[in-house]
Amino acid sequence: MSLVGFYDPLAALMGETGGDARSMLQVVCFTIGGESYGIDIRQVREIRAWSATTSLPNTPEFVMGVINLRGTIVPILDLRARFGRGQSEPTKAHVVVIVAIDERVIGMLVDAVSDIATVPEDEIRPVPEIGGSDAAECLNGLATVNDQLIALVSVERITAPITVH
Amino acid sequence: MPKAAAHKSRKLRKPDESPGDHIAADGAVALAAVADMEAACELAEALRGALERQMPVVIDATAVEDMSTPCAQALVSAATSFAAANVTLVFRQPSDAFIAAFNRIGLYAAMMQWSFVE
Amino acid sequence: MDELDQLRQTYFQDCDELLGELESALMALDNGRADGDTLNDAFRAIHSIKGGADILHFDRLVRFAHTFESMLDRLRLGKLAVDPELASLMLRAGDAIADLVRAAQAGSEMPDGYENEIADALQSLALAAGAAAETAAANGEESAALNERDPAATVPTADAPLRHYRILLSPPADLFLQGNEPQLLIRALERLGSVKTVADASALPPLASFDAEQCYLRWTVDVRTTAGPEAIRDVFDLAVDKSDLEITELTAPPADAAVAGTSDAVPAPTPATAPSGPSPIKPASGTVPGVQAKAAPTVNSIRVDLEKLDYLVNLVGELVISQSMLAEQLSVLPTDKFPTLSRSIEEMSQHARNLQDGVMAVRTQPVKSVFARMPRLVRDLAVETGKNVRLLVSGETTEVDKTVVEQLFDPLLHMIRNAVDHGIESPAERGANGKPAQGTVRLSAAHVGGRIVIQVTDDGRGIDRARVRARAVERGLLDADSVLTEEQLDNLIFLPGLSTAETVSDISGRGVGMDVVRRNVERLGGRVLIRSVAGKGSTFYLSLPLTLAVLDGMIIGVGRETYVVPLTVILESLRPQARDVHRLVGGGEVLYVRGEYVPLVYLGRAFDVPDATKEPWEGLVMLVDADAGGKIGVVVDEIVGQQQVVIKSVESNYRALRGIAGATILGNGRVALILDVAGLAEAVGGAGQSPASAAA
Repeated sequence: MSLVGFYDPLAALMGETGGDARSMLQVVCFTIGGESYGIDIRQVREIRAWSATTSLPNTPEFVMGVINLRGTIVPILDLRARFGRGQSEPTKAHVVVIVAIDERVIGMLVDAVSDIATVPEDEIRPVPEIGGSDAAECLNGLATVNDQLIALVSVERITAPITVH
Repeated sequence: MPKAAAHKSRKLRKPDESPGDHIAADGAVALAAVADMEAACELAEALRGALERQMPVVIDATAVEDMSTPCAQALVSAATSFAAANVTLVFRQPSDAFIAAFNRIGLYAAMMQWSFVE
Repeated sequence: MDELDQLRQTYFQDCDELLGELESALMALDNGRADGDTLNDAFRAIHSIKGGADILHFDRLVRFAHTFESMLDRLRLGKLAVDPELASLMLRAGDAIADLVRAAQAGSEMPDGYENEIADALQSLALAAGAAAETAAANGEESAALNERDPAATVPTADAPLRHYRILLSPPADLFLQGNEPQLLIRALERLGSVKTVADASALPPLASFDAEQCYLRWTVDVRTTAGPEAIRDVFDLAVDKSDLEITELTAPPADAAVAGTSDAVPAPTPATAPSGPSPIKPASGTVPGVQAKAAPTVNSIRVDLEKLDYLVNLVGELVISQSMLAEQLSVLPTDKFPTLSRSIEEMSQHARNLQDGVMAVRTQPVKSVFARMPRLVRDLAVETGKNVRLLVSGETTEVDKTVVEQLFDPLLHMIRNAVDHGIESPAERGANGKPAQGTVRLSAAHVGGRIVIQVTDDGRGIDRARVRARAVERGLLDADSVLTEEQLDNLIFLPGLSTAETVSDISGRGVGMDVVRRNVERLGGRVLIRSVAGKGSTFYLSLPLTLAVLDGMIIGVGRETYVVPLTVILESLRPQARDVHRLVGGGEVLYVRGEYVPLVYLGRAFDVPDATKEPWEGLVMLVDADAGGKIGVVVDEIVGQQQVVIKSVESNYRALRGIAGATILGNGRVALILDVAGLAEAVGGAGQSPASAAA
């Protein structure tokens, strides 16, 4: 969906200097505890309201359990916990972002999804070396959208503890 | 060699239906795009009725895309019988597929003896 | 899917079977059983593989198959004898054929000259048998067409001479009703070369007595092609009865050097005149045994796309889930007020169960397809390790779901490698120990307790427990002072990094095999263990569920969570008395049941479930069979019900979990985890078990 190398009409609408191909990244923006994050839209399968999970035994704190997604068993991760910011107390107002990486489908619990932003790839800044916080290791970069700082997350690194044996 | 599904015999005649009913008053019959076994049966019925009533028939072969051997066989029988009874049976604008099929089936020579109209 | 794709698909499916038959025959030849039947089986298989390859233009395959076929023909005509060297060569040729087929299927090419060495060896052996004595083809035998001087004779290439065939087809009146469309046959012939068809309509009745469903036509088809008569015959294979068909070659076949190119002018197309040309090639040649066109099989079975079957199974699974959701919703209604409704629901449940059984039965296959590859494996292993081993196989008709069959090969491979490599001693050592020089490995399969159990038994030296133990301690996998039973010692071989072979042989690797095997088997809900008697031999036991798709389960509740326990492992459920529960010094608990003490496992604690019942006498204890872990009692809160559940994978999106065999979706739409009691027993450790078994 992200139109890397193609002319992005959305960017043109937003007054970006378009015309030539400029690599654009479309991100789904969401919030956790007031902080804004973004995830590459190409990895997002769907967005659902929270529903109760069935817990899995002996799993890390940030693994909430599994749900039935149209006949497939999908694990749900608590992103807040994954970022080391404590555990979420989900309600129906919370949102689960279902992502696909490789052949897996995994859900991530966030507080809310705000919107979809388009970020020129050359405006993405690297994450400063803050020194090994859980959150920092999951990030791909930082970007500014409408004067707001968005931390771009790496789904691969978020899920690494459970996908790598 | 892959086989098509075996057919069951389709002799379902509805009571009180006269076989010539399928031919329009002006004697025109249109062949469907897929002229299969079922079409062959219906065609034979319809043409038989027309022949009995000595009705001239125009067979429109424009739409044919898939001509089956049963259908081709039926047409040959019909054409021969109509000719023998001196009743007109002509074909309108046979499609390329129609002609190619007759060639492949080996009935090209017979077909070439028929009357064709625009 | 167009006809060509359909043809290709059927061909490769056929090849699967044919390659299997070929290998069996070649193995038999290798074992010294060089009788006519075996030779014919091999010949037939190659011939069929070649025929289809011809039509599909897999030229390389055709050429090699032809060379192989010539050799086999020579053998079955008695012109050459089978010696061990030739048998080995032919096994290699069989492998090469299989590789060429696979390459053709994948649309890729084997490296240039891949098969040449073998082909050359085959040819030189064939020539050495005095090929010059071959007579010209006028005798009408199949072999006439196989000219070893020109192995590419049947391949339709531009350089080969054009042959002219006349086909007389006089089909029965019910040709169309049988589902045949002659144009398809003509089209197939067109792929071989140029075709001219003339239909004889002289039997066509007038319209008044015409029956559209009958076939009144007969055909004379002239085909000019470089292909051989088998290619022509194969077009009509299965569609037309041999008796309705007459194929004549109007050109003299190319083996006769005097004839060049085609015969003279095409005879006028008069139908049904008996051709006077040379060498009429009747489709069913009774004179040469085994050389027949494939007999049309009686249609007792059909081939089904696996995808279609999987789709069906999934659908039925969803149906079962929906139906149980419905049943649950309606269970709150008083049955006496809605008797018809209740009965209907009950009937529907029954139908759904029957449907599921039926669909699952469609998917079952005998394990034969996996077992059949083992004799060859053993033979190769024996040769590599310099040992003398024979394989005895039984129970190969035991059936399991296709999903399980597919998973069997790998663990079996490792177990058998282990048996031959580590178990069976060299002939010298065996002799010194008073054993017959030839070792025996026995492979068997059987249904036991709702599962399939596969055993691999060898009469070798058994496990050297002292050495295994020492190695485990050395690797830090075992405390030096642990006390283990013999059985526990034996099963140490499943720990990673343990290999006690004197020479770590290339085949079994550095002991990485068995732990991976165990992990993979457990992931399927299976168990594998080994029992051994020093000096006498060892037995691997591999048990797997009969299907990986569905199971009958008992739904139990622990705290606010629900779990499913496979019915097959449940021995009984009971509500214990407080006085029968005993705490052990080590910290575990046991339940006294009719004279034995059964270790207790608190599911609530093992899975960290809040609000679980604390005391066994307030809940229930399910006695279950945990395989190697023996009998254990699982403490739960309540039994909710019993139903058949569709197994869903937790692992595909998450990972394998110790104690969990999968998940299912219950009638209320919620996910329930399916227990793996053996894994549970191990994870918890049980009473007095060593860390070694718990750490695995």
